[in-house]
Amino acid sequence: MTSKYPGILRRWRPRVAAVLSVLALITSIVTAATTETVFFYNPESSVDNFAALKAEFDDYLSAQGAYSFQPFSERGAFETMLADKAQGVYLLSSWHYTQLNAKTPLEARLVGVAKGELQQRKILSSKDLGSVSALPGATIAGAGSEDYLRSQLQQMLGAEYAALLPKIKLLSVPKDLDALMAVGFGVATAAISSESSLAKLAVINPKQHAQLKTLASGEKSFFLIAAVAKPQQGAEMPLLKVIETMQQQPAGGKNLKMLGLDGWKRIDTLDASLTKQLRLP
Amino acid sequence: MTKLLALLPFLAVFCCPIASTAQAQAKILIVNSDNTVQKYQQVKDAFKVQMTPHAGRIIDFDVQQAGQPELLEKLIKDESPDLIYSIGSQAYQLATQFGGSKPVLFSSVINWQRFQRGGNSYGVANELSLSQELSLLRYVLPNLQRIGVIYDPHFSAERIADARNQCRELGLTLVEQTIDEDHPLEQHLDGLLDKIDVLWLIADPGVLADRATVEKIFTGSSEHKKPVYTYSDAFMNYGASLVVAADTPTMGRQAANMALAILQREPIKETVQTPAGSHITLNACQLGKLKKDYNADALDAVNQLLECH
Repeated sequence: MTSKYPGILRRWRPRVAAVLSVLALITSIVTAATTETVFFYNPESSVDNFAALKAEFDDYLSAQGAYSFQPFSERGAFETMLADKAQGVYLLSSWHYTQLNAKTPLEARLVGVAKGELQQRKILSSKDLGSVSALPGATIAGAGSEDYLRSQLQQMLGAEYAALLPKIKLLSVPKDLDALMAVGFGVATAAISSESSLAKLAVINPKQHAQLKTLASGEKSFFLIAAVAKPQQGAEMPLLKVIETMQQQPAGGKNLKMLGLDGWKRIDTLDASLTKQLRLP
Repeated sequence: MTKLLALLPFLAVFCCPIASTAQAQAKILIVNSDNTVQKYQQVKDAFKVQMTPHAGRIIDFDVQQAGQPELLEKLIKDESPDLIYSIGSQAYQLATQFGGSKPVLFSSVINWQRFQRGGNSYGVANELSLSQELSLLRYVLPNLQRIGVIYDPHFSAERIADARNQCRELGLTLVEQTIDEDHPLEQHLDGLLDKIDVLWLIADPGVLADRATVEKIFTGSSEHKKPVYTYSDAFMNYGASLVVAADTPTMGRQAANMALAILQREPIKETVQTPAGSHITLNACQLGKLKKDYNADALDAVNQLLECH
């Protein structure tokens, strides 16, 4: 490109660049301060749907205010964001919430609801094994991160069978139904899934379902949690309200379904026995 | 003999650490047909994440980048890996050609049955099981019970016989239409579309002969307001309503578990495994145009959701 005033342009170029950089920095700071974000990470699912979640939630949230959605596929990145106490609402699994709360205080405000339930139970199903004592050498399929699956298995096996854990291979698959069907066609010896996923299999593939038997089951745990960083600033309240009322609008309801939920329930309306499970430590 | 028996527990104790040390020092060669292909890269990354804690060393070889396949022969001779993991058809062919008696594991090989396999060959297939494919169709589109399929008996007779049984077990009705030179698609497409709720497009080279045929199928389906269910995202541009394919990272993790079993000399029941994970693309926009509902409770299983914007 040629210019009528090459000398002037060359002399001013660094200054213009510096001014533009400062402007960009100011813009990003202002945006960060005024845009609240919903941060999402769920180690209980391996469905790579982050692009779809981002598009659908951004669409919905931006219509409600200066809000955006940020899904994470890596636990470390999500926890770094939390450690920096980024302004916003955190959607995370109750298993992760309980683990995180020891080091990064969070306060759960909403709990997910699916088919009228607040909690789910994970179970271990197999076609060929008669009991958990036969697990050494087995491959167990399940949805979610390996950390999560190993912890679920540990809980299900208890102290009596804890020694079996190192002798088991885990296969992380995108969703519960994949894990259950992997047992059906022999890729896995057993599957970790929720009870409700096993019930879904009964509807879509009754023959495979009939071949499975439950070897062990875990304790009930909450569905997704919506939490804010402690100490609470109060600035998150409008965004929390937007999330709480999502189910009242068709687009919001559809987005909740993408998270496996039908709606939210406020923690302060739950029975004390349930609330106790979440107010940690 | 009695003394030997008495020694057995000690042998067992000492043999195990030896086996695990051998596994920890195992050298694995990954032969990738083309690193620039995203699916190959994904499967390799997932394999490495799962395998790295258990392997001594992982060596990479990219067939495209290397240019000369003979370099692989030299690498195998120099490094003498304990296992070769090949990604894609080209890599698999070269690995079996130069690998000698080394165990060769494959994935991302389309229609692996067309290759001759030796006793040291293992793999993860590229296609989901029929049972999973049809179960997930039933899960996402539960109201569509009559499934139409067009096939050429020269290519797909066996697969359709399996599908017939699977559909019976799942409570679905399979409406079949064969085509060949004497019975071209044009004569039968409209008749089939009138009788079905959803068209299941399978990977049959006799049916998907060319682009014009594919367009004809999709245009006809759209005119009859019938959604198309198929196996590859490549058909989304034509207007497929639902695609269920194998999940690529899961294939990499499966391959890693198989590699461990091979290195530990564990008995392997299935030398070629069916992919365990599924990847779902739902075209909600297209279904809306066809006035067909989908199961909203299945949305958390969907990887890609296409809406009308």
